[in-house]
Amino acid sequence: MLELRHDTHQDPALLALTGSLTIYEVRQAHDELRAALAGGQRQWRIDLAELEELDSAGAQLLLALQRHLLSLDGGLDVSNPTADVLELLELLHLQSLYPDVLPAQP
Amino acid sequence: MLNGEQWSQLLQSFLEEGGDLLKQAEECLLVLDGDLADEEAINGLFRAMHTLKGSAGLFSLTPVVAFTHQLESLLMAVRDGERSLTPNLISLMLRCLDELGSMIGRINVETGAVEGNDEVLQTQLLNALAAEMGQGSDSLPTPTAPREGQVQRAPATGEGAWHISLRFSPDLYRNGFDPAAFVRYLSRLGEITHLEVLDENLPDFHQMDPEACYLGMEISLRSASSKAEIEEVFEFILDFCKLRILPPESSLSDYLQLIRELPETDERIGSILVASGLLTEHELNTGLTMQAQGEEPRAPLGSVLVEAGMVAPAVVNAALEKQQVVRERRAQESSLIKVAAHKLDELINLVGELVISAAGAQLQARAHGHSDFIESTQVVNRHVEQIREAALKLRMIEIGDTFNRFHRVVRDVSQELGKKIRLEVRGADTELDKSVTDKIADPLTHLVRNAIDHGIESAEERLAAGKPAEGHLALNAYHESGMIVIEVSDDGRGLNTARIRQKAIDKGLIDPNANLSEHDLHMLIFAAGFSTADSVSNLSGRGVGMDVVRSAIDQLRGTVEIESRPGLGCTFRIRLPLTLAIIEGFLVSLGGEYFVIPLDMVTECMELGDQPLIDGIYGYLNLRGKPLPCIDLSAHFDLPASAVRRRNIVVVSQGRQQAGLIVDQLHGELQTVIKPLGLLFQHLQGISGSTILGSGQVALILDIPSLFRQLQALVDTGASETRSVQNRQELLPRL
Repeated sequence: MLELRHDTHQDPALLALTGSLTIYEVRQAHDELRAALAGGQRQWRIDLAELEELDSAGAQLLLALQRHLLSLDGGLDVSNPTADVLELLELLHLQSLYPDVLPAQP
Repeated sequence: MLNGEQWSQLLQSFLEEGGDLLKQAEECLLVLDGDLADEEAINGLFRAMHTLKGSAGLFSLTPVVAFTHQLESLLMAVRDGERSLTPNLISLMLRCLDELGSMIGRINVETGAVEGNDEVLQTQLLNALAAEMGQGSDSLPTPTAPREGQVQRAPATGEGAWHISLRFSPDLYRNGFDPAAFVRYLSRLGEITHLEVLDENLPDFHQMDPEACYLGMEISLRSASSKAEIEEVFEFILDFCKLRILPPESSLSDYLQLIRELPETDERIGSILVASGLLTEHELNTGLTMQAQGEEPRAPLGSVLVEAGMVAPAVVNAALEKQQVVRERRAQESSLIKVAAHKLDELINLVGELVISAAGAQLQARAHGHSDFIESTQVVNRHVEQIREAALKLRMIEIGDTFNRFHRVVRDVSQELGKKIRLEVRGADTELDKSVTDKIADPLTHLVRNAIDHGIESAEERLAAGKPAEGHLALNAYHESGMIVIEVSDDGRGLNTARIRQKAIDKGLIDPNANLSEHDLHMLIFAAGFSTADSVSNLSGRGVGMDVVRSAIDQLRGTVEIESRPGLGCTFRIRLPLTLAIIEGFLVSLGGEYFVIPLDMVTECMELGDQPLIDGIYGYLNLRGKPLPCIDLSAHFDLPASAVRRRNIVVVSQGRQQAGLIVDQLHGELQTVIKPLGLLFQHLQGISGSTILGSGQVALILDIPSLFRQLQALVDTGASETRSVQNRQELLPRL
């Protein structure tokens, strides 16, 4: 179950995800995100406070979104990840999605 | 551990490879200069840079890796259609290639370091590249940024860690797999010191299929696990990813060591790699499949594995080395067993006895007329013959080794004499019995020295005679009718018969009035105490050489002939029996006495008929219109006159000579062991040995060359009426 809300009146535009973002939800998320991007905002913030589950497919979607926005000279910041989501971001060393994820020290 | 020399060799091969790759890259760039969109050239260029980077990485050539990496990133973007090339970029890249070439050129093979690296220039070039790329940018702002980081981090974190490289298939997620789960699982094996999710392949957000996996991963894992254990982690997704596991750089040398210490039992390279833990069975199977699918000619498995990134080239090289060592050892093991010569002699003696007893058994069988018995003795005999041949072959060695020592002899002797001489060796693979080889070496040395000293003229003389200044000496060996023929020939002045004659008269060897044929004059040089050289040199000219040659050849039951053409050269032709132990013989009888004629010399047999010998004991018969000199053997050996009405002629030949031997009865072929005559009988002419027949009777082996000499002497002196002085009683030992 995924619920995706976005608020393009703020700057950066706000995106809030609730539920799960996994292989089962990515297609829905992709569609909705594309719709959300249609507004033309380039700078986005994504709030994961309500996101309980994230998997690699979901992370990949976020990465793609981030790359897309960067290519438009915009950006995507991730905030408030829950513990489970943070675990995945840390596991995959996805610093670009969440700067607080520390790169592993040798 | 890889020793310094091996390392240098590997590095040397990298330098060569690097040069080739740069050349390929340059060619591709020049193609692209004409057509900016030539995909094949872009791919070729990318591959060249990629391979160069990979190889340089193996040798820790950090500046080369870092620099190549930038070029590779750019090319990857171009290949993936994210960038397009510009003429400016191509010029820049050409300059980069030049710089790479000069970096590779500055690599010290001993230390493996890039000496005097011009980082300033490299930075300039890279900045120029970055600037040029920035202009051409249309989709991605900083594709090189994360990759730069990767290169910088790699040496720090890669130390002592496994490097795991994953490229997922698009279907991964759809099949219910989450790579993160495997990473979690992997972390149980050890510490993941570095992990990078590769997102370069992510398409544009709007175009992407969110359920397809576009990611790759580069993982550094510090772990004591084996490669197979690491692979096991990814067991379920092996079909949905490309997995490459590279051992820690620091332990690479340990693996090389391990490969060297493997028991030398299996020579397949794949097995060597699997046994050392560098390659997993799965990878081996994949590699083999890839190899099998490859185009003909199939690439070696090693290069397939390296190409696929499954193993490092250095490792394959080590494994190949190992394989080579094993193969060489096997080859040696299979081709060489050192056996004491006396053991072989013993074997051959026993085989000789076996031949005799088998012949005895066959005789018995025939006497009893028992057909089954006869049949089985025939089978036994056939096998005995095979054993005999095999046993004799054990002692056969190629004459090449003996010949080869003459290169040195010729070089030394010709230098000493100030002559230029070229030695040509032919028939080096001709085989003969080891005992013969050993004994022929010295006589050959005499002949070779003699040819250089007396035969081949000085350069001035040669030029004056219209010959090339460089003398030509040839050693040749070949088989001819059961004998080995060894020729020593030169293109010198030939034998000077007038001087030989004069010398022989001076030394009192011949009568001044004697009318000797050319051939006889030639043979005089073999007489003891004969020397024609005007000055006694170190090498020859003492007159001891040639008679030694003659007696050595005689001892080997051989003959020597001289073919000399004045001014053109001279050939010494030595004929020797292949072996001293056993001969194939042709059994004949004179009255009750048996004689064996070496079969190789028998050309034909026929009935004598009523045609009388022209001159009694020695004379001529008409053989198909040609005179055939004949010997009545029973008269020759002073045996009782034959009572047999129908007698036979055995035609024997030696070289170009032919003669007929008149005998009473023909008994056919036999193989027999030569029993040398005792010391008392060694002076006998015409008999070279004896053998024991199956019946226990003694048969004498006829010495055909000596019979020929006798016949020749009789014919030459016209003393055809003279009877042989040899008495029958002297001839045969009492039994």
